[in-house]
Amino acid sequence: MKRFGVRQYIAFITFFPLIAITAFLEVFFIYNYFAELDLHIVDRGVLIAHQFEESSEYGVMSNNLKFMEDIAKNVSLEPDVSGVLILNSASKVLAKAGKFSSPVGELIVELRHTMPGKPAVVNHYNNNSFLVSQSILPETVILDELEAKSAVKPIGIVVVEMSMLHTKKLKSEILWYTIISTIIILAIIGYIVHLVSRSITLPIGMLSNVIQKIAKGNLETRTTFSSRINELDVLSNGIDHMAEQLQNERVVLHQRIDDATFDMRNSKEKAERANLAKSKFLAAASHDLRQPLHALGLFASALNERIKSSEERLLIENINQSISSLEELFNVLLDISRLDAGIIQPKFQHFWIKGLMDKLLTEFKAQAQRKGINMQLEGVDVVIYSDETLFETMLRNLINNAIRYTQSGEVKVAWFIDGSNVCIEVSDTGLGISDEDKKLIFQEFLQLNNPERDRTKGLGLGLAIVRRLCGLLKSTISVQSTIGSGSIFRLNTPLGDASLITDDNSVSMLQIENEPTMQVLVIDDEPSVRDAMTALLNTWGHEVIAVGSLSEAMQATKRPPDAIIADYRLVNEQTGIDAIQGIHQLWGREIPSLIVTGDTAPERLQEAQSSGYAFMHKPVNSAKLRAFLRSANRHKS
Amino acid sequence: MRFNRLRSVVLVLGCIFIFNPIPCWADNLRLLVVLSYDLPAYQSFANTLTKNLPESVQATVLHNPEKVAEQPQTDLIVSVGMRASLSAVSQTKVPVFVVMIPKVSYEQLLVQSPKQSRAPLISTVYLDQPWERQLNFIQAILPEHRRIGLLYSAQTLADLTLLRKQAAKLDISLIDKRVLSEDKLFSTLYDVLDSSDILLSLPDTTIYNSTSIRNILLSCYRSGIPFIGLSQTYVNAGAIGAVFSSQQQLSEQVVEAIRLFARNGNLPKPEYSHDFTISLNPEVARSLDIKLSSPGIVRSIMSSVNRGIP
Repeated sequence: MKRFGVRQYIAFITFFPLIAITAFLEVFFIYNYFAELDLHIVDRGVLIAHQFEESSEYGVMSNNLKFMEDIAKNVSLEPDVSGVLILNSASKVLAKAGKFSSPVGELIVELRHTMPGKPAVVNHYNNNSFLVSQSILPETVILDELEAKSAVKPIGIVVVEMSMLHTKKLKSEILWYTIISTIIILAIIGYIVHLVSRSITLPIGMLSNVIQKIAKGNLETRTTFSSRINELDVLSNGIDHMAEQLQNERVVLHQRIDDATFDMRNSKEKAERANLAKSKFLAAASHDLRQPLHALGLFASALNERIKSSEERLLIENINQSISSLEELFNVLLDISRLDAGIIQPKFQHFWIKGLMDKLLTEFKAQAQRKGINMQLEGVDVVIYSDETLFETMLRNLINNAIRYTQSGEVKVAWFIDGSNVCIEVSDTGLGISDEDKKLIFQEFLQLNNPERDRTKGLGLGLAIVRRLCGLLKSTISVQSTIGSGSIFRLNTPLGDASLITDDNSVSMLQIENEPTMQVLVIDDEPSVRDAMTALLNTWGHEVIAVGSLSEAMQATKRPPDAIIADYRLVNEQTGIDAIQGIHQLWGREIPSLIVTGDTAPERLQEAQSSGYAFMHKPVNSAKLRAFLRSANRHKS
Repeated sequence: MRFNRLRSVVLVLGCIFIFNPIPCWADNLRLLVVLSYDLPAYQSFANTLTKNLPESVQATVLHNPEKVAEQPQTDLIVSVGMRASLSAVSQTKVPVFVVMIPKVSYEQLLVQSPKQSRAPLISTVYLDQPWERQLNFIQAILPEHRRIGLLYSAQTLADLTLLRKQAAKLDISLIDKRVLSEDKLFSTLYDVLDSSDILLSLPDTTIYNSTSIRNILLSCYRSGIPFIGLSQTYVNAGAIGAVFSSQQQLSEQVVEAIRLFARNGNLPKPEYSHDFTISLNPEVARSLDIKLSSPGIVRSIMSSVNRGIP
C-alpha cells in the first residue's frame, strides 16, 4: 500500500471537499446563470417586441411610415437587437431597421406558418439569433358602447431579431472569469494549506529527527522549537521529558553495567590468578618431580645397558615400565599445560590414515587382548589434512579410553568420508555414558566409574586433551552413547588431498648403527641429572663434560664440544639458552644444542621453544636423546 | 245640417271618451325592462332605473330581447337599446318606452317597424344631446375655436344638415369629411384635423370605438386639436370635455314618464333629456395649453346663451 505523508493527507482532506464543493457550486451557478442569461435575452426580446408593438400601434393605425421608421430605428439600436420589422395585416413591410440573418421574404413566409399572437412568439431559427414576433393589436379604451363588441383584429406584426452573440460572448467571459478566479482562489487556498500543513509537518519532521537521534542513542538531543499547535507542543515536551528520563535511566544503567563489569573483571582476574596459580603449581610440581624422574630414567637406561643377567633385566624391565607409566602421567599433564599455554602449533599436512590406524591397532591390540576385547579397524585408506602427531594423540586417547571402559566385546575404529570431512568413529561395547555425564566427560580429571581414582585407569585427562586438540585441528568431536550399550565417539576432521602429500616422515628416527664418539657438553644445575646423563652418554660411548653453569662450562671445555645439552633453568637466573649462546660465542660457531626442561609453565615453554634450539621435556626419552645426538653427529660430519 | 253632423261627431267622440275604458295603474304597474345585450352600460342603466322606480311599479328585467313576447301580463316595456326596442316594438302590443338610443336611431326604429305592427304607444328620451347644446358647450369652453371638424360615415346616424344650420347660425364653420372605409379613417382624420381647431365626435361606432379612440385621441393631441367626446369615458380617455346625460339623469326622466303612464296611460312625447352633465379634462387642456373654465361656469355660460344673454 502506498503511504502518504501528513502534508499529502492534509492537502487531500482539505482540497478534495473544497474542489468538489467548488466544482459543484460553480457548475450549479454557471448553469443557472447561463439559463438565466438565455431566459433573460428571450424575456428582453419579448419585452422589446411588446414595447415595439405598443409604440408602433399608432404608426400602423395611422399608416405613418416616418413614425414607424423612427421607432424601428430606435428599437434596432437596443443591445442584442439585430433587426426589426413592422408588417401590416397584409404582411406588407411598413418599416425595417437593422440587419436580419435571413432575407425578409423568408421571414415573412416563416411567420405565416407560425401565426404570431399576443403575447409574443419566439422562434429559434438558428444558433446565433432568434425571432420574436408579435401581432399589433390596437389598445382598447372602454367606452359606453351600446352595441356588442366584435373581436379586436390585429393591424400588423412587429418582428424583432435578437442576436445571441453578445450573450454567448458574455457566457464565454463568465466561464473564463470563473475558471481563472477559481484557480486563483484555489492557489491562494493551496498556499494557505501549504503554510498550515507546514506549520504542522515542520514540527513533526523536527520531532521525527529528534526521535531518530534519540533512537540512535543521542539522548542529549532536545526539541528546540515552539509550535503554535498545542498538541505538538505537548508532544514536544513529552519527547523532551522522555529523552531526559532515558538519559537518566542510561546513566543509572551504565553505572550498573560498570559495577557489574567491575565485579566480572574482578571475578575473571581471580579466576585467571587461580588458573595461573594452578599452572604454576603444575609447572613447579612437574619440574620438581621431573628432575628425579629424569635422572631415574637415565639411570635405568644406563643400568639396562650394563646388566646382562636375565633376572635383573626383568627387574629393570619392571622399573622401566613404572618409569614409563610415570612418564605417561607427566606427559599427559604436560600436554594439558602445553595446550593451555597455546604453545603447540599444529603442522598441517596431508597424510594417509590407514598406516596410522594399523600402527595404533598394533599398539593397542595386545592391551585389548589382555582384557579379552576384540579390536578391529574398518575403512579404506583416505587422506586427511591434519597434524599427524596430534591427530595420533587424539586417536590414541579415544582408543585408550574405549579399551579402558570396555570389559568385554569389541572396540572398533571405523572411518569414512563424510562430505568434506573424514568421520572417524571409535565405538565400544562398554558401560556407556548417561546423558548427564555426556556434558562432563570432556572436563579435566573426570573419570567415570573410578571413584577410587585408580591411577592405572589414567588421570581423566584424555578427553580433555581430545577436546583441546579438536580446537587446534579444526576437528569436531561428538559422542553417542546409551548406558549398557557402549559408546561411539565421532571425530570429524578435514579431508586431505593425496597429491599434496610430502614424504618427510620416511626417515626413521631410531637408526642406531655405529654412532661415532662425540664430545657432549652437559649443563645442568642438578648434580643427579648431570650424573645420570653422564652415565647414559658414556654408555653410548660419548665423551661427556658435565658442568653446573656457563662459567664452569667455559672453563671446562678446551675445544668446541660436538653437542650441548643444557637444562633450561640454571642457577643465578641463567637459562640454558644463555649458556648455549655463551658457548657459541666462546668458540665462535654454532654447535648443535638441546634444551631440556622440567618446566611446564607456559611462558617458559614458549620461550624455550622460540629460542630455535632443539627442545625436550624431562624426563627425556632416551631414544629421542639418541636421535638428537645422531643428528648432531651428522652436523659435525 | 253641418251643425248636426258636427254635433253627432262630438257626441260620438264624447261617447268614445266616456265609455272607453282608460287604464289606470296608480297602484300596480307591471313593468318589463328589456336589455338589448348584457352590456355593462345597459345593466347599469337598468339598475339605476329599478332603484328609482316607485314601489307601486313591479319591474322585471329581461336580458334576452328575443323572449319579450313570452313575458305575460306586462303593462309597459322599457326597452334599453336598439335591439331590445326593435323586439319590443315588433313582437308585442304593449306600450314601449325606448331608452339609450339617439334621436336618429329612434327615428330609424319608427321607420323599421311598420305602424300596423308597432306598439300602440311608443316614446323615448334621446340619448344624444341636441346640436344646440353641443355647440353651446363648445362655445362655452373654447370660444376661440370656431372650426369644428367632423368625421362621419355611412353608418353615422345624425342630422348633419340641422347641425350645419345651427353652426351657421352661430358663425361656426363645420369641416366634415366622410370616412369611406376603415382603412381611410386616419387619412380622413388627418385631413379634417389639418383644417379644424376642434374635433367633435358623433355616436358612430365604425369611427369612434374602443379600438380606434386611443389613436384618434393621439392624433388629435399630436395635431394640437382638442377633442369633444360623447360621455364621461371619452373625457377619461383623453377628450377635453363632453356634455352628456348621465344614466341617473336619463333614468329620472324615464321614471317621470312611467309615473305619467301609470297615472293616465299616456307616455310623454319623445324628447332630449332635460338635464345634462358637463365634464371637463383640465389635464388634457393643460397639455394643449388651453385654459378651461370650471364646469359650473360653463353651465352658466350655456344657460345665458340659451336665454339670449350675450
